[in-house]
Amino acid sequence: MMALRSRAVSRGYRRTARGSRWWAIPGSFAVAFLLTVLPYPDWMRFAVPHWVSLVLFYWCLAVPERVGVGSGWIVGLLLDLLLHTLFGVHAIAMAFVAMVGVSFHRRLRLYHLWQQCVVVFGVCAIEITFVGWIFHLTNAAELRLVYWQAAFTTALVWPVVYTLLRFLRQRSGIVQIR
Amino acid sequence: MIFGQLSNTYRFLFLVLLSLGLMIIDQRSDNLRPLRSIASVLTIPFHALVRLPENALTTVRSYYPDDSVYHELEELREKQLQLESHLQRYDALVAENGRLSRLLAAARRSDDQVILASIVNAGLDPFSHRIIINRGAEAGVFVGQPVIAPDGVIGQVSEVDMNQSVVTLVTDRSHGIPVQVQRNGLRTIVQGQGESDQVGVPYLPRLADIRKGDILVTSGMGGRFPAGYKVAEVVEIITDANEAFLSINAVTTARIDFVKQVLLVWDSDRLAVTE
Repeated sequence: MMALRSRAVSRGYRRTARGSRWWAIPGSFAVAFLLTVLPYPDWMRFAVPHWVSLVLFYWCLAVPERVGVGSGWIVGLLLDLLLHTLFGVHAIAMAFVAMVGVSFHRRLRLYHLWQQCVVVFGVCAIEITFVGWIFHLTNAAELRLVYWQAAFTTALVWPVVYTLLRFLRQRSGIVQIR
Repeated sequence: MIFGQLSNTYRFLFLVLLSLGLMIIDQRSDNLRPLRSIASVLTIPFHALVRLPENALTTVRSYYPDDSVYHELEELREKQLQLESHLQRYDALVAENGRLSRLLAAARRSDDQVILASIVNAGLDPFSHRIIINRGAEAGVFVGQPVIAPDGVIGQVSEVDMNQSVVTLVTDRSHGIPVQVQRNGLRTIVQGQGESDQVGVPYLPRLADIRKGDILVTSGMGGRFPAGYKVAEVVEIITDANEAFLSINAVTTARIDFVKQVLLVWDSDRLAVTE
């Protein structure tokens, strides 16, 4: 077991140390940011999946030793910058997503995809509640039930994102250690 | 690294406190403005990349003009001629208006200065109605500046970065704008409701003289928006005997969802005051 793990570790680090595939994680976040600011039609306004949360959640499950609460927080700050929201709103939300992912990564990895979807739904619903509440306090936004549509769509696209990112992770030689 | 062996929950709690501090500073003061203004340069490639396909299509189309382009050109020429002929009268009217206002010893209104800006992104988040435009501090944009489209007011600038700025739309719930009814000069306000195109006209008593089809124009009160720009048209008035106020629904005259370019306005009256 030890030998297997150390081999996996050395292989993982050798592959990435060569410098060819280090961009997989930041690259996937960049794509998520792009998908976030894509111009969606008006009827999709409340149903746009939270791409950044999905990507962050995946990396927290897969490589919690690399992507964790701190990276989640920084990603959240970048999201605040991109969406022109108060500094810290999405940072807290993303740190929360990362905390759930990292804390339960061993258990979550054993779940079926559809069971993971339920978890993603819950996490996303809490995230929307928090961000919506801050907007309610600072921007007089009304809290309406349609805001939680995004939790459904986010949970629905999780299997797709999971499969794509797992493929990307395997291709780029990032190895699960723990 | 900084956290050492701290557990995830403690890290999270620490970052929550840090974020709360940031949020309070960002909400209560302008101390984070310069940082945001500089760091926003990072976000420009994302907005640019998202608009790339559309821009590329327009560019490619411009190399292959088809008949519709010539038709459009003809139409535009005709319109240009019409407008020019109107403009001749306009100049005379402006001069006459100036003379009349001098007679009345009133301040003379001249033209407002405008510059054109493109919408870089609409629909930042589902909770608010804001757009990003491609002009910023370098073009002299300032917070509170009126933003209009050819057929009505769009909103006002709420954040200015170096090369872009954020516009809060009249449909945002936090946005109110002083208006008057064009027909009879009745003063009131138009309040955003968080719905696209729809706005409300609150606090008008039941006997107020307002009708379906009335056009609401900026009144110039409050000093933010110059007077006389169209804002909304009344589409529905619901009178409820139990309510002290009328419930009025209006739609914005500018079709905000379809607008691609907007005008930033420098109020001539205010320019005259500052000069």
